[in-house]
Amino acid sequence: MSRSTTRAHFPVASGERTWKSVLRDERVRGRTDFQVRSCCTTSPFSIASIARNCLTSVIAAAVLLALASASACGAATSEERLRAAQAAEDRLTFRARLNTATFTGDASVSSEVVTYRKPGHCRLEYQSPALKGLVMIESGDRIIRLNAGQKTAYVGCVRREAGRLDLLLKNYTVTNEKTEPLVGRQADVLSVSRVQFGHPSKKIWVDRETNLILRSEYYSSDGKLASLTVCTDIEWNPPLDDSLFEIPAGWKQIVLEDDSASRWDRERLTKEAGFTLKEPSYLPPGYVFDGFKVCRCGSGITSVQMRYTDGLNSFSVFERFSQCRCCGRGHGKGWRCRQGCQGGCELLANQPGRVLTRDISGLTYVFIGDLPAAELTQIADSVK
Amino acid sequence: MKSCNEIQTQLADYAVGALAGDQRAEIERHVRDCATCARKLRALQRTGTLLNALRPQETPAQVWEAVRNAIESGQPRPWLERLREVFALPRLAYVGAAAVLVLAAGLYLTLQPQPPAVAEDTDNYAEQHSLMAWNDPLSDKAALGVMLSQTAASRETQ
Amino acid sequence: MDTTDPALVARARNGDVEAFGELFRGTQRRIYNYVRHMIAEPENAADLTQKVYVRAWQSLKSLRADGAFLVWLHRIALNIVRDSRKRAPEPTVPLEVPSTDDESPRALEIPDWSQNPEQVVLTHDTQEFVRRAVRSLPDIHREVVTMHHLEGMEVTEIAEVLGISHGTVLSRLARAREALRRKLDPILKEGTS
Repeated sequence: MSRSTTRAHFPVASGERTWKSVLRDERVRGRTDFQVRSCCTTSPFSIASIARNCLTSVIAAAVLLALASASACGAATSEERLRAAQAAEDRLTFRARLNTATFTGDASVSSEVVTYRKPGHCRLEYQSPALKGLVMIESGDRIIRLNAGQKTAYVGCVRREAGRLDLLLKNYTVTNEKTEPLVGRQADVLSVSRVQFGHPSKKIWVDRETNLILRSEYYSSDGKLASLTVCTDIEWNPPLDDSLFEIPAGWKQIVLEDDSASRWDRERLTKEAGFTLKEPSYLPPGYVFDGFKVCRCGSGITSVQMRYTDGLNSFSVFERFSQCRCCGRGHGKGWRCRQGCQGGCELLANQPGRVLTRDISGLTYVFIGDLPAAELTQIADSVK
Repeated sequence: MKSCNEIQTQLADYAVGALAGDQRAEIERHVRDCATCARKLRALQRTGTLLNALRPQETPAQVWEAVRNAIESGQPRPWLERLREVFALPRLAYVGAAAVLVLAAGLYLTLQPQPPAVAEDTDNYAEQHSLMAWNDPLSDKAALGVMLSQTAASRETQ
Repeated sequence: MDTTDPALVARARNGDVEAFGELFRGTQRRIYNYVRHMIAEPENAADLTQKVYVRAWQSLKSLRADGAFLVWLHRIALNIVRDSRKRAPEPTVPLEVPSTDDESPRALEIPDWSQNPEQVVLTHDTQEFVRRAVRSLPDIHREVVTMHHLEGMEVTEIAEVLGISHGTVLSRLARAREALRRKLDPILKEGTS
């Protein structure tokens, strides 16, 4: 067993040709040189031949310039691979089988999933009996959860915001760790992480041919594996009926919220919610404001959601009256927050992250996100 | 140019790959022409070969059985181990925990049980927060679907 | 490189004994050989190895990153070995050519260096001789030699386990190599032919 004393970086699978080696071979075979030489053998002194020679020389020069710059650029960088992976989902049409598992606290839920994808549309059919026929549909900006038992479709709206990937690349380091086979294909393993401790990270396996993400691991801000999805089978370009991405006829529809985020500004939100919004003055490094949403909770209270993101991770601050104006339940003597009025964070039950609730001057603030407890507390403390 | 004595003090570093660039080249140039140093370098390299040739020994079969019995019988964890784990927490967690304890004691004496609206709303908010991550870069939609459904189920059973 | 599956680690953390068994199978040879070479009495290696894994099971919740299981496990092994040495200081390991009952010193077989200087096959006795040479090294040298040559760990992994720099690992390996060269001189001789 031979051992080296230094770690090898970016191993290339045996037999694989890098882009550089292909370009080198093209030059060695002298294809461009041949074109120039062959043109020069014909009627060198006629105007037509001079013009032909000039044109050929210009073409040859352009090709050589392109080769030189391509050679300088070399293979795609890790960031380029990441961008390609992000773009691939919206380009490809396929049917695939996945295995997914989530790990939260002491519980884990796993399921085989059959997924259908075409640009702008996605359908996920969960096979595990524990998930009782769950189907998720994405159609444009609409995200639909089908509850087969109740024949009910819960419809939400999640707009695609530009610039999040740039923000991710600004805050996170992307490293191409290695290339390895997966599902009979060669995949680059990219790790996406922040230098500082206490932030979530991701590892994705990106198919070298199509840039599709074949495996995805998400590590929470505690460094623990929180979810894992791996592709086990792919069928490319199958015929996909439009009905796969629609709510079945006759089902009840419950709209969770409408696509009205773009209309909200602070002034209108204040009128809608009936209180003046307070925002945290402290944001963890790299986080930016991502937008407002208005939610109506089960008890009928209007809440405002403010979302903040660093490109990969996010946290939300929900604000609402502590007392429900409809039914009188709420703040005053007799109210106890889940964690105490200035209490600590509690782990979320079904997803990575924490929740922290504060009551300040008649308003309840709920802070939710996958951040260390100290960070979430500092955000909460900065709301005054 | 270095003497043999000086070169020989560096041969072990060369043999393990601790030298780079000019230093490596200098050693290589010297041993090409110096039989004594070359012999010493060969001896160092062979030492590495001998170490690499040692065959690993197999763990006795009963070790796993013993480990399994110990963990399945739920041996109580040594108190020192538990104490170590407690002190592995960041200091802020102690302060937060202490504050929560004090406040919880005070609140418990004066306050009424929590209305069900808050617990339900936290699940609502958690679901909403997860949903908004659907179109985030690199989002794992299959896993998100599981989390969304679990949170919704948790709310619906309250 | 740590190739333990983080999903296995996560399942083990949730109480899945079978998953922990898979982790054991994937790491036992490395940990056992590390323990065996770090203590004076190899017959205690099995017990100490068992202790490593039981403690690992009990402490899984303190593992900060599922992808760093092997480094974390190795640190547990390191601590357990150090604790056992504190309780029972090691006797000096004599390094001499082993002899048989008939009192005639048995000559160690010198490996055939002429065939392939980078790879040799050692007899059992020669292996024991080399192992004893390793055990006679000071602890800080023995650790790095054991991890690098016997376990096949990369220098960066060793640095992570021991909490020292890459350069310090290489320096210790070099000093150990020099010390071992002197101890193993009888079997490093050039061929007489």
